[in-house]
Amino acid sequence: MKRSLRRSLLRVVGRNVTCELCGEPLFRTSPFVRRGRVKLPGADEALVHVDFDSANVVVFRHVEADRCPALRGER
Amino acid sequence: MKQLNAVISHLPAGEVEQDMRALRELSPDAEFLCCYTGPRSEFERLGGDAILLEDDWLGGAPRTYQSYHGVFAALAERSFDALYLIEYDQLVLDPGFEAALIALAEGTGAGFMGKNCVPRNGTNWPHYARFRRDRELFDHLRRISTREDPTVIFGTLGTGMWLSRDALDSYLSLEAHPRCYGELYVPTILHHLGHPVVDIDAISDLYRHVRWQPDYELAEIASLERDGAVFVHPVKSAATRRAAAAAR
Repeated sequence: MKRSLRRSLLRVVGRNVTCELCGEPLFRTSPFVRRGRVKLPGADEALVHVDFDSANVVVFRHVEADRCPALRGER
Repeated sequence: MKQLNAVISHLPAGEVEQDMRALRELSPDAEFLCCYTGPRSEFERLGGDAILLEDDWLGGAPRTYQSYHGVFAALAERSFDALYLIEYDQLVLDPGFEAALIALAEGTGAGFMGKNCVPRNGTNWPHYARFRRDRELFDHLRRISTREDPTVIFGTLGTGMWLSRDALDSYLSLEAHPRCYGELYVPTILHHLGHPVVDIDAISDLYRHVRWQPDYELAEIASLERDGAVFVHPVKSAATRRAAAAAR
Protein backbone atom coordinates (compact mmCIF):
# COMPACT_ATOMS: atom_id res chain seq x y z
CA MET A 1 0.00 0.00 0.00
CA LYS A 2 1.30 3.45 -0.88
CA ARG A 3 2.48 5.46 2.12
CA SER A 4 0.17 8.40 1.39
CA LEU A 5 -2.86 6.11 1.16
CA ARG A 6 -1.85 4.34 4.35
CA ARG A 7 -1.50 7.68 6.16
CA SER A 8 -4.96 8.73 5.05
CA LEU A 9 -6.41 5.42 6.22
CA LEU A 10 -4.65 5.61 9.58
CA ARG A 11 -5.94 9.15 10.13
CA VAL A 12 -9.42 7.60 10.16
CA VAL A 13 -9.01 4.16 11.71
CA GLY A 14 -5.72 4.58 13.60
CA ARG A 15 -4.96 5.60 17.17
CA ASN A 16 -1.99 7.57 18.47
CA VAL A 17 0.80 5.74 20.24
CA THR A 18 2.69 8.02 22.62
CA CYS A 19 6.16 8.06 24.12
CA GLU A 20 6.07 6.47 27.58
CA LEU A 21 8.67 8.99 28.78
CA CYS A 22 7.43 12.36 27.48
CA GLY A 23 3.86 11.59 26.41
CA GLU A 24 4.21 13.05 22.92
CA PRO A 25 2.63 11.18 19.98
CA LEU A 26 5.05 8.87 18.19
CA PHE A 27 2.96 7.41 15.39
CA ARG A 28 -0.58 6.49 14.47
CA THR A 29 -1.42 2.85 13.98
CA SER A 30 -4.03 0.14 13.87
CA PRO A 31 -2.32 -3.12 14.88
CA PHE A 32 -3.24 -6.51 13.49
CA VAL A 33 -1.84 -10.03 13.48
CA ARG A 34 -0.60 -11.60 10.27
CA ARG A 35 1.31 -14.87 9.85
CA GLY A 36 1.97 -15.01 13.57
CA ARG A 37 3.39 -11.51 13.79
CA VAL A 38 1.91 -8.31 15.14
CA LYS A 39 1.99 -5.67 12.42
CA LEU A 40 2.00 -1.96 13.26
CA PRO A 41 1.35 -0.03 10.06
CA GLY A 42 2.55 3.54 10.57
CA ALA A 43 5.19 2.66 13.17
CA ASP A 44 7.85 3.19 10.53
CA GLU A 45 6.99 6.91 10.54
CA ALA A 46 9.08 7.28 13.71
CA LEU A 47 12.26 5.88 15.20
CA VAL A 48 11.06 4.15 18.38
CA HIS A 49 12.14 1.75 21.09
CA VAL A 50 9.69 -0.97 22.15
CA ASP A 51 9.39 -2.97 25.36
CA PHE A 52 6.85 -4.99 27.31
CA ASP A 53 5.35 -3.05 30.22
CA SER A 54 3.23 -5.97 31.41
CA ALA A 55 2.31 -9.42 30.14
CA ASN A 56 0.12 -8.01 27.38
CA VAL A 57 1.06 -4.36 27.00
CA VAL A 58 3.89 -3.04 24.88
CA VAL A 59 5.14 0.50 25.32
CA PHE A 60 7.16 2.73 23.05
CA ARG A 61 9.51 5.62 23.52
CA HIS A 62 11.62 8.00 21.48
CA VAL A 63 15.13 6.95 20.51
CA GLU A 64 16.37 10.42 19.55
CA ALA A 65 17.12 12.76 22.43
CA ASP A 66 16.49 15.84 20.29
CA ARG A 67 12.87 14.73 19.90
CA CYS A 68 12.22 13.83 23.54
CA PRO A 69 12.49 16.28 26.46
CA ALA A 70 12.59 13.38 28.89
CA LEU A 71 15.65 11.87 27.24
CA ARG A 72 17.36 15.24 27.57
CA GLY A 73 16.48 15.36 31.25
CA GLU A 74 14.12 18.30 30.77
CA ARG A 75 10.94 16.59 31.97
CA MET B 1 43.86 19.08 20.52
CA LYS B 2 44.53 18.99 16.79
CA GLN B 3 41.42 18.02 14.82
CA LEU B 4 41.38 16.88 11.22
CA ASN B 5 38.13 17.70 9.45
CA ALA B 6 37.52 15.23 6.63
CA VAL B 7 34.79 15.98 4.11
CA ILE B 8 33.41 13.08 2.09
CA SER B 9 32.25 14.13 -1.38
CA HIS B 10 31.56 12.52 -4.73
CA LEU B 11 30.56 15.72 -6.55
CA PRO B 12 32.20 17.14 -9.69
CA ALA B 13 35.57 18.78 -8.99
CA GLY B 14 34.26 22.31 -9.46
CA GLU B 15 31.62 21.85 -6.78
CA VAL B 16 34.05 20.20 -4.39
CA GLU B 17 36.47 23.11 -4.79
CA GLN B 18 33.74 25.57 -3.91
CA ASP B 19 32.57 23.57 -0.90
CA MET B 20 36.11 23.23 0.44
CA ARG B 21 36.88 26.91 -0.20
CA ALA B 22 33.79 27.91 1.78
CA LEU B 23 34.92 25.80 4.73
CA ARG B 24 38.48 27.13 4.64
CA GLU B 25 37.26 30.73 4.41
CA LEU B 26 34.88 30.23 7.31
CA SER B 27 37.52 28.71 9.56
CA PRO B 28 41.03 29.46 8.25
CA ASP B 29 42.80 27.90 11.24
CA ALA B 30 41.01 24.55 10.89
CA GLU B 31 42.47 21.73 8.79
CA PHE B 32 40.11 20.44 6.10
CA LEU B 33 40.73 17.46 3.87
CA CYS B 34 38.52 16.20 1.06
CA CYS B 35 37.96 12.43 0.96
CA TYR B 36 36.88 12.03 -2.61
CA THR B 37 34.69 9.10 -3.64
CA GLY B 38 33.95 10.20 -7.20
CA PRO B 39 35.78 9.25 -10.42
CA ARG B 40 39.59 9.53 -10.64
CA SER B 41 39.29 11.90 -13.61
CA GLU B 42 37.46 14.42 -11.40
CA PHE B 43 39.85 13.84 -8.49
CA GLU B 44 42.79 14.75 -10.70
CA ARG B 45 41.24 18.16 -11.27
CA LEU B 46 41.07 18.88 -7.53
CA GLY B 47 43.52 21.28 -5.94
CA GLY B 48 44.21 21.57 -2.22
CA ASP B 49 44.35 18.77 0.27
CA ALA B 50 42.41 15.75 -1.00
CA ILE B 51 42.65 11.97 -1.07
CA LEU B 52 40.96 9.58 -3.45
CA LEU B 53 38.94 6.66 -2.08
CA GLU B 54 38.55 4.18 -4.89
CA ASP B 55 37.46 1.14 -2.92
CA ASP B 56 33.78 2.01 -3.26
CA TRP B 57 33.12 0.99 0.36
CA LEU B 58 31.27 4.26 0.85
CA GLY B 59 29.72 4.26 -2.57
CA GLY B 60 27.14 1.52 -2.15
CA ALA B 61 23.42 2.06 -2.30
CA PRO B 62 21.66 3.02 0.93
CA ARG B 63 20.87 0.10 3.21
CA THR B 64 23.57 -2.11 1.75
CA TYR B 65 26.99 -2.51 3.34
CA GLN B 66 28.62 0.91 3.24
CA SER B 67 31.66 1.02 5.49
CA TYR B 68 34.28 3.49 6.71
CA HIS B 69 37.20 1.03 6.65
CA GLY B 70 38.69 2.64 3.53
CA VAL B 71 38.46 6.23 4.70
CA PHE B 72 39.84 5.42 8.15
CA ALA B 73 42.74 3.44 6.68
CA ALA B 74 43.52 6.24 4.22
CA LEU B 75 43.78 8.75 7.08
CA ALA B 76 45.88 6.56 9.36
CA GLU B 77 49.21 8.14 8.41
CA ARG B 78 48.02 11.68 9.05
CA SER B 79 48.90 13.48 12.25
CA PHE B 80 45.90 14.50 14.39
CA ASP B 81 44.38 13.98 17.82
CA ALA B 82 40.79 13.83 16.63
CA LEU B 83 39.01 13.11 13.39
CA TYR B 84 35.79 14.85 12.41
CA LEU B 85 34.09 13.22 9.45
CA ILE B 86 31.32 15.02 7.61
CA GLU B 87 29.53 14.60 4.31
CA TYR B 88 29.55 17.37 1.71
CA ASP B 89 25.94 18.31 2.50
CA GLN B 90 26.65 19.20 6.14
CA LEU B 91 27.13 22.96 6.37
CA VAL B 92 29.39 24.43 9.01
CA LEU B 93 28.05 27.84 10.01
CA ASP B 94 30.17 28.73 13.02
CA PRO B 95 33.98 29.12 12.85
CA GLY B 96 34.11 27.95 16.45
CA PHE B 97 32.83 24.49 15.57
CA GLU B 98 36.11 22.74 16.42
CA ALA B 99 36.32 24.26 19.88
CA ALA B 100 32.68 23.32 20.53
CA LEU B 101 33.26 19.69 19.56
CA ILE B 102 36.50 19.42 21.49
CA ALA B 103 34.88 20.91 24.59
CA LEU B 104 32.15 18.26 24.41
CA ALA B 105 34.69 15.50 23.91
CA GLU B 106 36.87 16.66 26.77
CA GLY B 107 33.88 17.13 29.04
CA THR B 108 32.62 13.61 28.42
CA GLY B 109 35.86 11.72 27.77
CA ALA B 110 34.34 10.61 24.47
CA GLY B 111 36.12 8.29 22.10
CA PHE B 112 33.29 8.69 19.64
CA MET B 113 30.50 11.26 19.32
CA GLY B 114 27.64 11.34 16.86
CA LYS B 115 24.12 12.44 16.06
CA ASN B 116 21.51 10.34 17.92
CA CYS B 117 24.30 7.97 18.87
CA VAL B 118 22.56 5.59 21.25
CA PRO B 119 22.01 1.85 21.63
CA ARG B 120 19.50 0.68 19.04
CA ASN B 121 18.60 -2.74 20.45
CA GLY B 122 14.83 -3.11 20.66
CA THR B 123 14.20 -0.31 18.18
CA ASN B 124 12.68 -0.22 14.73
CA TRP B 125 15.80 1.34 13.21
CA PRO B 126 16.00 -0.43 9.84
CA HIS B 127 19.70 -1.22 10.18
CA TYR B 128 19.21 -2.78 13.60
CA ALA B 129 16.38 -4.85 12.16
CA ARG B 130 18.63 -5.95 9.30
CA PHE B 131 21.50 -7.09 11.52
CA ARG B 132 19.81 -8.17 14.76
CA ARG B 133 20.29 -11.84 13.92
CA ASP B 134 23.52 -11.52 11.95
CA ARG B 135 25.70 -14.34 13.25
CA GLU B 136 28.91 -13.02 11.70
CA LEU B 137 28.50 -9.64 13.39
CA PHE B 138 27.65 -11.06 16.82
CA ASP B 139 30.46 -13.65 16.70
CA HIS B 140 32.82 -10.77 15.93
CA LEU B 141 31.47 -8.68 18.81
CA ARG B 142 31.81 -11.61 21.23
CA ARG B 143 35.44 -12.05 20.20
CA ILE B 144 36.51 -8.43 20.59
CA SER B 145 34.17 -6.94 23.20
CA THR B 146 35.51 -5.59 26.48
CA ARG B 147 31.95 -4.97 27.68
CA GLU B 148 29.71 -7.04 29.92
CA ASP B 149 27.07 -7.32 27.19
CA PRO B 150 28.57 -8.04 23.76
CA THR B 151 25.19 -7.78 22.03
CA VAL B 152 24.72 -4.01 22.41
CA ILE B 153 24.25 -2.37 19.02
CA PHE B 154 24.69 1.36 18.56
CA GLY B 155 23.60 3.54 15.69
CA THR B 156 24.32 7.08 14.58
CA LEU B 157 23.93 9.40 11.60
CA GLY B 158 26.65 8.94 9.00
CA THR B 159 27.63 12.60 8.92
CA GLY B 160 29.19 14.42 11.84
CA MET B 161 31.09 11.50 13.36
CA TRP B 162 33.85 12.57 15.77
CA LEU B 163 36.56 10.09 16.79
CA SER B 164 39.53 10.42 19.09
CA ARG B 165 42.85 9.26 17.72
CA ASP B 166 42.85 6.38 20.21
CA ALA B 167 39.46 5.25 18.98
CA LEU B 168 40.54 5.41 15.36
CA ASP B 169 43.71 3.44 16.11
CA SER B 170 41.66 0.79 17.94
CA TYR B 171 39.36 0.46 14.95
CA LEU B 172 42.33 0.13 12.63
CA SER B 173 43.96 -2.46 14.88
CA LEU B 174 41.25 -4.97 14.01
CA GLU B 175 42.46 -7.38 11.38
CA ALA B 176 39.06 -8.20 9.93
CA HIS B 177 35.55 -6.86 9.92
CA PRO B 178 32.24 -8.58 9.27
CA ARG B 179 30.09 -7.28 6.46
CA CYS B 180 28.01 -4.58 8.11
CA TYR B 181 26.76 -1.02 7.77
CA GLY B 182 28.91 1.93 8.83
CA GLU B 183 26.32 3.91 10.76
CA LEU B 184 25.79 0.85 12.92
CA TYR B 185 29.26 -0.65 12.88
CA VAL B 186 31.51 2.30 13.78
CA PRO B 187 29.88 3.34 17.08
CA THR B 188 29.13 -0.27 17.97
CA ILE B 189 32.66 -1.50 17.48
CA LEU B 190 34.16 1.47 19.32
CA HIS B 191 31.83 0.86 22.26
CA HIS B 192 32.89 -2.79 22.41
CA LEU B 193 36.55 -1.81 22.13
CA GLY B 194 36.07 0.14 25.35
CA HIS B 195 35.74 3.71 24.11
CA PRO B 196 33.06 5.97 25.60
CA VAL B 197 30.42 6.57 22.91
CA VAL B 198 28.50 9.83 23.32
CA ASP B 199 25.21 11.06 21.92
CA ILE B 200 25.74 14.74 21.12
CA ASP B 201 22.00 15.40 21.27
CA ALA B 202 21.73 14.18 24.84
CA ILE B 203 24.24 16.72 26.10
CA SER B 204 24.09 19.74 23.80
CA ASP B 205 22.26 21.63 21.07
CA LEU B 206 25.20 21.42 18.70
CA TYR B 207 23.37 19.03 16.35
CA ARG B 208 19.87 20.45 16.80
CA HIS B 209 19.75 21.29 13.08
CA VAL B 210 21.47 18.16 11.86
CA ARG B 211 18.88 15.71 10.63
CA TRP B 212 18.56 12.88 8.15
CA GLN B 213 16.01 14.62 5.95
CA PRO B 214 14.44 16.79 4.52
CA ASP B 215 16.82 19.27 2.90
CA TYR B 216 17.18 22.75 4.38
CA GLU B 217 16.22 25.77 2.27
CA LEU B 218 18.28 28.95 2.07
CA ALA B 219 15.88 31.08 4.12
CA GLU B 220 15.90 28.50 6.94
CA ILE B 221 19.69 28.37 6.90
CA ALA B 222 19.99 32.16 7.10
CA SER B 223 17.57 32.25 10.01
CA LEU B 224 19.35 29.43 11.84
CA GLU B 225 22.72 31.10 11.31
CA ARG B 226 21.40 34.33 12.84
CA ASP B 227 20.19 32.29 15.81
CA GLY B 228 23.63 30.81 16.35
CA ALA B 229 23.33 27.37 14.75
CA VAL B 230 26.72 25.70 14.38
CA PHE B 231 25.81 23.04 11.80
CA VAL B 232 23.02 22.38 9.33
CA HIS B 233 22.37 19.11 7.49
CA PRO B 234 21.32 18.19 4.85
CA VAL B 235 21.86 20.84 2.19
CA LYS B 236 22.16 18.83 -1.01
CA SER B 237 21.55 21.74 -3.37
CA ALA B 238 24.88 23.20 -4.55
CA ALA B 239 23.12 26.48 -5.33
CA THR B 240 21.86 26.71 -1.76
CA ARG B 241 25.31 25.95 -0.34
CA ARG B 242 26.85 28.64 -2.57
CA ALA B 243 24.22 31.18 -1.60
CA ALA B 244 24.59 30.40 2.11
CA ALA B 245 28.36 30.88 1.89
CA ALA B 246 28.00 34.12 -0.11
CA ALA B 247 25.56 35.54 2.43
CA ARG B 248 28.04 35.11 5.25
